[in-house]
Amino acid sequence: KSNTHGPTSSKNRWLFLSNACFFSSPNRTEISARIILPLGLPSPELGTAGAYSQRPSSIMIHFVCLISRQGKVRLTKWYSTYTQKERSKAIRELSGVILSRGPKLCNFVDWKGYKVVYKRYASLYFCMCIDDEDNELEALEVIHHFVEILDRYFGSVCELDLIFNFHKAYYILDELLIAGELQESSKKTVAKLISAQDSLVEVAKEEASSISNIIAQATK
Amino acid sequence: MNPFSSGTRLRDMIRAIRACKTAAEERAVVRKECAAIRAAINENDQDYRHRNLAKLMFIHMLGYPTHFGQMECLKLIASPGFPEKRIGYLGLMLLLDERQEVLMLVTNSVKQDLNHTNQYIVGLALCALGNICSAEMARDLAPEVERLLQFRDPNIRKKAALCSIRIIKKVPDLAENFINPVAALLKEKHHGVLITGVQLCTDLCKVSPEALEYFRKKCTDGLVRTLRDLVNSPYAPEYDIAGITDPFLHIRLLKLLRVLGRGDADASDSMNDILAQVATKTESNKNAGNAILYECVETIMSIEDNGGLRVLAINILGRFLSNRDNNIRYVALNMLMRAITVDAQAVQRHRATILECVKDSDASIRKRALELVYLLVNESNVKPLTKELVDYLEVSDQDFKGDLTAKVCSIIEKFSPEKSWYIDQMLKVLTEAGNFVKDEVWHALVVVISNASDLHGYTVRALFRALQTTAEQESLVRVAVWCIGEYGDLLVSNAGMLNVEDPITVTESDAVDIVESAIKRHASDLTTKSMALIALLKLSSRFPSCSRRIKDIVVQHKGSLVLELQQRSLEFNSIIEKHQNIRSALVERMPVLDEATFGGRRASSLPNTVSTSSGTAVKLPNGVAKPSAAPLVDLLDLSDDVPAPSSSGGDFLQDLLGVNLPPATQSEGTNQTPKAGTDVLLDLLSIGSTPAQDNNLSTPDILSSGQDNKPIIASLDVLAAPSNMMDLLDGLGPAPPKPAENGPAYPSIVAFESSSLRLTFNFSKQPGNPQTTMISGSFTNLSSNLFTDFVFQAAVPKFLQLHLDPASGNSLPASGNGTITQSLKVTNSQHGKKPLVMRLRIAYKVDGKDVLEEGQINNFPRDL
Repeated sequence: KSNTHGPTSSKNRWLFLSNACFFSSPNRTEISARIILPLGLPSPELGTAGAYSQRPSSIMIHFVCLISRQGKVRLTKWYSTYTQKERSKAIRELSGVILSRGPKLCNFVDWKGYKVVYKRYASLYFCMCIDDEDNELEALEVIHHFVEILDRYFGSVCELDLIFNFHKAYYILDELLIAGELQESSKKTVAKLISAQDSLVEVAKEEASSISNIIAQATK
Repeated sequence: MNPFSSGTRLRDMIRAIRACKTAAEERAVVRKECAAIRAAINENDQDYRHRNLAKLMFIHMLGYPTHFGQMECLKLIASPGFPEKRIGYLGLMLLLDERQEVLMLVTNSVKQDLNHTNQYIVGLALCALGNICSAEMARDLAPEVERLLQFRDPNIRKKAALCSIRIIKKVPDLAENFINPVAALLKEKHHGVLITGVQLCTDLCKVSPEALEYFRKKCTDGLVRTLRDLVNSPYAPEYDIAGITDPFLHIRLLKLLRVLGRGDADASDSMNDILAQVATKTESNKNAGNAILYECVETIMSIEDNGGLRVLAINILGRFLSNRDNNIRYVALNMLMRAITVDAQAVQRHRATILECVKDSDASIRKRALELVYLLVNESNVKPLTKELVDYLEVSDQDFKGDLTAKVCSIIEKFSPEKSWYIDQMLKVLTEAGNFVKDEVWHALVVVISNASDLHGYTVRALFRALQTTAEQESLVRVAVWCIGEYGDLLVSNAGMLNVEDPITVTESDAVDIVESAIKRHASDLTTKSMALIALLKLSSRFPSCSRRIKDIVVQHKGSLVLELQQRSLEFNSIIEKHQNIRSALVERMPVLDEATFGGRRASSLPNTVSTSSGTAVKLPNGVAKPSAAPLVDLLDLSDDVPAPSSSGGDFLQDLLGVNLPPATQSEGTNQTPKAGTDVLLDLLSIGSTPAQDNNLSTPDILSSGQDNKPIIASLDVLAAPSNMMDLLDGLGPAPPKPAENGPAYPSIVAFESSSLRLTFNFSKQPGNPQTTMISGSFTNLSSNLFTDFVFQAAVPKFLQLHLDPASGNSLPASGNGTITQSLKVTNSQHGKKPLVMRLRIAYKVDGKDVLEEGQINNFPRDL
């Protein structure tokens, strides 16, 4: 059995092709397609390939996106590396699949070897892409957790809140997830951290306006 | 204040965009905004920088290019105030990703912010780092993050923990630095810190065996205790979900225990009790409880065997499977698929329920169930299962038929107990979903039919009947037309009648009618029509009474606009008219297609494909999957060999990648009719001029040996264009690499030499393929120590393609007492313009110490 690889990746990079292991590549999607493990020598991922064997370390959530009933994107957050093209393609494909699914069906769709867990809240679909072997039910809980925090912050949140205050939705998401992993299970803590940072912004704003008032007065 | 930069407020811009009725209007608004923002950037406007960035983020979300705003993020991050930094970091995470060079410029600012006195600024920096840092940044900033794992505020500790996960994933070497701080995090009480600490610990164990060993020894008991306290904890409103305290923490603890318990009996033993408690006590009426049960079952299945627990877990899966909630059923199917390796019997018990799920109204569930059923099939249950699936094929959704057909065909091929069953089932599938049957599947069917000489009559009659009822399924038509052409006489004479079938009366002209209708049918594609023409030619000899009529049908295509059909029509016509004396010999029934020859080579490549064939690497308990054999493809060996003459390499590549080479490549360079190129069988039939068809098809060994073909071709000289055909056939033979005899000789070179190691390269080329060079490298150990774990790596620039075979060994004896040989294949796309060049990296161990040598080879002989 043998290794093969096509033209090397970027402009002047030398991508080493090995007969024993592969080097970590910046883009995980490229690895699988380009570099192949040989037989004979033990390989960390495939050597003991069984359903419960150790798998390469993976991110829990690859990306989060909020898509409206009309297919408009309201929020996207990418924890794995995707090019701009891949991003828009993913969103396009997923909104096609998810929006066309009936209401009583399960909340999971298979997508390119990954699973997308989605849940509809009013006019918005909350979607998270997770690994095939990850816990879909937990991902649903994470989505609900996020929605509850949004709800608490905006006071019965609606799609319009998320359109006009999209940056705030991102701030909240950043208090909830980092690197595709959950960081906080307490809604109260997230709310507290967000409001502390909001008030820091308020204070800074007031200071700025009072200074500019002073300057305005002085230059009159 | 700058009059140009004031612009609109963020809110107004969003409103304006929302008010747009058409995409063109929206583009106009966005263009105007972008122009204003660019102007403000050029002016280096301070006051509205953060508003502009917020606008850009919105525009970015709509899918417009916003790269010009990237530097603004950096400027905002570098400014002193919290509001600017907050929006700056957000922009950084949204507008950039780890591959942009710009990102490196931010490293310094992030470093400063990680040391900031304001903890919220530290938090922002950690968050950004955790979401988008590159390997370089990870290296540079790891010490800061490591220090922050001990920060006084728990909210920073938890962010630092998740940030560390990204760092160790980017740079696994850094893992050991984090082992000690993480051990401290596992003892924390704060849930956020605990959740993230447990997660970090799990990821550490995955990248570093030392970490796994350490945590297994030191922390297993503590983690079991933490989980027990959590399970038994009283109501805690802050963390409560559906009556369970912090299911997220439950799940992460169970995941970590899984990693620690796997492959270690002691650790597994210490967690048995708590796993049993979770499995029995967790409420399963809410999603949160089920999520915990899910994780618990996975852990039980992964850790070292404990019979009682396994039964508990399988029972939970059984309950899941019969749940009314679609989500729960979906995950049950998923988990059973993994459980099959552990306890196939237990999963088999749920076969009936799983089969019902194949018919579910939910596409996701159907797909999973089908995959599971596929794994459950074995020799003993194949008949009832196939019957169920084939029956369902009739009523299934159109968009599911493709998947279902592929799986059913694969099951039939894999497990068919006898030929008559195989043929029966395939005919059913062809009748129900022939349009979804892949070419290689019906090619394989044709081979099987050809081999089952006692069933020829039965098969052709069954196909005739099927074709009478439905002519909509393309591949059914093809197989039927082929069989009628071959065995038309049996159709009419009712020869070889089996006792299960009803006799039918078919006249010779009925048989011709049905083939004619296949040609006339509008929906028939070129392949089908061409096959039908051949069938007619054959029938003209089998049924002399219809010869006249057949000639008339054939002649109708004389003026066909499709070259292929026109050519066939003219040639066949000439055979019928002018070559009566040789016609019967030409159109004799094809000799039996040798299954073993076709299947053999494919089978030999099988063991390699198993582990990689399915993305989830599920081990098939019911034996190795036979690939959907495409004997005719193999016969010609066109598919893989066109790009790379070393057939095995191509095969493996194809198998490993799971790529089905687009059929177009199969006929590259050998075929001039593009449509027919999709069908290898047809290629075969249309090579050279027509009379050769039967001989070609029937003598696979001619094609594969490439040597003995001359006599046969010679006998066809009368009609064929010999030179043309010779070329084609020569090209098809899988020329074995015998470069030493044929190719020009090149001097050997010493490709690499250091004080301890020498590498020499010998070169050879395959005749007719000057671009590709076969290199045989041989390593000699010049030192007096044994090298172990010897790994050779090579890299080439873009214009070269490199293909490495496995080395002959991985240890190299001292003082030249042995060599490792390594063969490489380099294809130079710029052959004649650029010489070969290659970089090497050689890693090995001497006395347990790692040694790395690197070098570049510039002394390749010219013209390689």
